[in-house]
Amino acid sequence: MAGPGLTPRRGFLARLIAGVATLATAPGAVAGQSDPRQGTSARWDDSWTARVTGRHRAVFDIPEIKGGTVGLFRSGMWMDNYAEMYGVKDQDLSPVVVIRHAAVPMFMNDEFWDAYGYREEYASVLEDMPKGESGNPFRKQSFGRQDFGIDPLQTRGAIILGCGVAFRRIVSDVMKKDNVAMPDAEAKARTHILPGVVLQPSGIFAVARAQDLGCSYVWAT
Amino acid sequence: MESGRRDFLETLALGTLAASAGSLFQPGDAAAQGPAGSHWDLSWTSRLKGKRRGIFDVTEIEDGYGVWRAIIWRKQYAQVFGIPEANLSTVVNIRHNGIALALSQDYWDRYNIAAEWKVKDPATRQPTKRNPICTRTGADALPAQFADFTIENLMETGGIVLACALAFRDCVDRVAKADGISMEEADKKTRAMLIPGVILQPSGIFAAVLAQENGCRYVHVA
Repeated sequence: MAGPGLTPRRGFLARLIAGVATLATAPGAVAGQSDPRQGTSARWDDSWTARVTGRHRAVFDIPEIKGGTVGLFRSGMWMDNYAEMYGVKDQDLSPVVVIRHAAVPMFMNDEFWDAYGYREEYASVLEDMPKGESGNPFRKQSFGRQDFGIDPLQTRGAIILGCGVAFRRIVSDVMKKDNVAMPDAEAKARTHILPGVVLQPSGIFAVARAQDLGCSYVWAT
Repeated sequence: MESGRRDFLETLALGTLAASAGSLFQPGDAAAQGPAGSHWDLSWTSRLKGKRRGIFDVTEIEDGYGVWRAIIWRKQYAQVFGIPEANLSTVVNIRHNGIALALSQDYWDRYNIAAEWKVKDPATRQPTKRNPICTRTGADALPAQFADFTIENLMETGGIVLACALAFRDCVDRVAKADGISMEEADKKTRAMLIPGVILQPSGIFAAVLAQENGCRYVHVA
């Protein structure tokens, strides 16, 4: 049996079967946005693509929660490296961070992490995180860098995308803990996605889409 | 193999600022300086040629198979498309838990790297004490069909090998602790054990993106 952060293949397959078709046809699949529909699909938010305008562009692929902090750190470090090397500003850089597969709890908010016991569930993969704190440990910082957490990275211009397929595991957690049906669970889970994070049809879609826009790919976990 | 998260933390604490400040600059390498007065060697970007370019991202030791995969790519492209291997741009990017691959057999012997990482010979699958991507002779020689599957041969025939300066700090830290010397001394000593021709970069991530900006396809190989 795989431990936290190591998604069992059976679970992945089950989510695919149970979730992809449902999610792909679900109304309101745009997370926390009013009317940001830019793509050809009315169901998914493609507006982030208009923000990929930097001279230097990179997509950071984070498929594991173990190593997720490293992934975030690497996106911030890349910004710093390019600033040092080429004298560019944050606005000249377009980092796109794709949080997918086993890493999806990273884009849930503090309230959700506390309510669903994620700190305890993922304790073994969060061993280097500050102890005795609550909430999402990825939100504010990464390895002590206050500008490398999900929130500050977004402030610096990073685009954070989430996998709509792997998000089903979050929905599944709500269904089990709250004993509610999938639509209710999904609606609730959506309200707990971190502000600014944009759900995509899949993380793979997002990774490919970012490269369509000129982003260099980095395996960041 | 478990990720060296704690090592990574220590590396960040010890190394990031020092690396950024250019302590890893190799004096005498003036022709190889990057833009904006940087002391990092980016000259390898000018050695990229042809339309077939790949950067092979090696994040784990994995018995050296990441480097082998890069070599295999070059051989296959050469065979299938009839292109001389030297006309294919092959960039190997050694970073994260794979960083020891960028260091010589001397480093592997002194600090018992193979045993720690449970390294196996990529050809025989038997436990080995050797850096699996380095040239070997005598009884340790690679089988004939793999004789040129080495980092030295890759570089001698036009391949480019980069290494992450952040991860390199792990090696420096190991030397400092094992030998009871200062980080400054350890830095010099460890640098001397880099395989000749390997080029340190500000980070492996930096190198991965820069290579793609110069037309390389990205492949995560280990």
